[in-house]
Amino acid sequence: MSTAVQNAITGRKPGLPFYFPHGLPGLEDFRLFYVEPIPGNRLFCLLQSMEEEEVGLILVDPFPFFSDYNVDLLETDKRDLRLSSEKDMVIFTTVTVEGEQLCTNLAAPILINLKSKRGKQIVISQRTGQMRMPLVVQGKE
Amino acid sequence: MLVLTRKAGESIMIGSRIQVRVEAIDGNTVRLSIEAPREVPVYRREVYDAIREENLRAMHSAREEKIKKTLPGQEPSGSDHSHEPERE
Repeated sequence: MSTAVQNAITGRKPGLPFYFPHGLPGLEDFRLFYVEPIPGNRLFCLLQSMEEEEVGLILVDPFPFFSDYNVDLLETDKRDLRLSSEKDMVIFTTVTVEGEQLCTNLAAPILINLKSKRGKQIVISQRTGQMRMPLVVQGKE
Repeated sequence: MLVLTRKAGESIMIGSRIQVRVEAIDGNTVRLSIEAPREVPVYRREVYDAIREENLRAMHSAREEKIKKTLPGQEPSGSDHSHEPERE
């Protein structure tokens, strides 16, 4: 199982939701989320709203797929996350399933601070052309 | 909706803590500066809309996945390390 997925699911204080001070773009009213496993799945997990059952997004650890991917945090992002060390941070990207094709949004990663239990989706303006990057999973064919 | 006309160098206050200033006008391009509290995110509208759209699509995909269970990465019975993703 991806280390990022494992860490986010168990977290440092299991059972407490992650707090997203700004919600997510398009879902600003939803501030509390769990990171839940998808039963039997090792690559993907679920960002599930604690407040509304219908509100959940599939997440993936992007680094095994995009080894050059990097995320630069602004000071304001670190403050929102109460981030004291980058080691406490896990990065996910959201996944859409378009028929047979899985895609992920590299322009707006979801950052989670395992220690403070805070999360934020940031926008990387240089990557706005990468909102639907195909995910290639070996062994699928 | 409020519509205001401003010249270069003029500003608008939104509430008491957000200021939008027209820095320069060049043909049909306007350069704006935005001063806002740190906790207020500022996005180009089309970028915000696109992210919003992807989030809503991801939400829809998650809903479908709960029903269809078609995501790869499913564990076969017993542990196995053969389903590693391809590196780009």
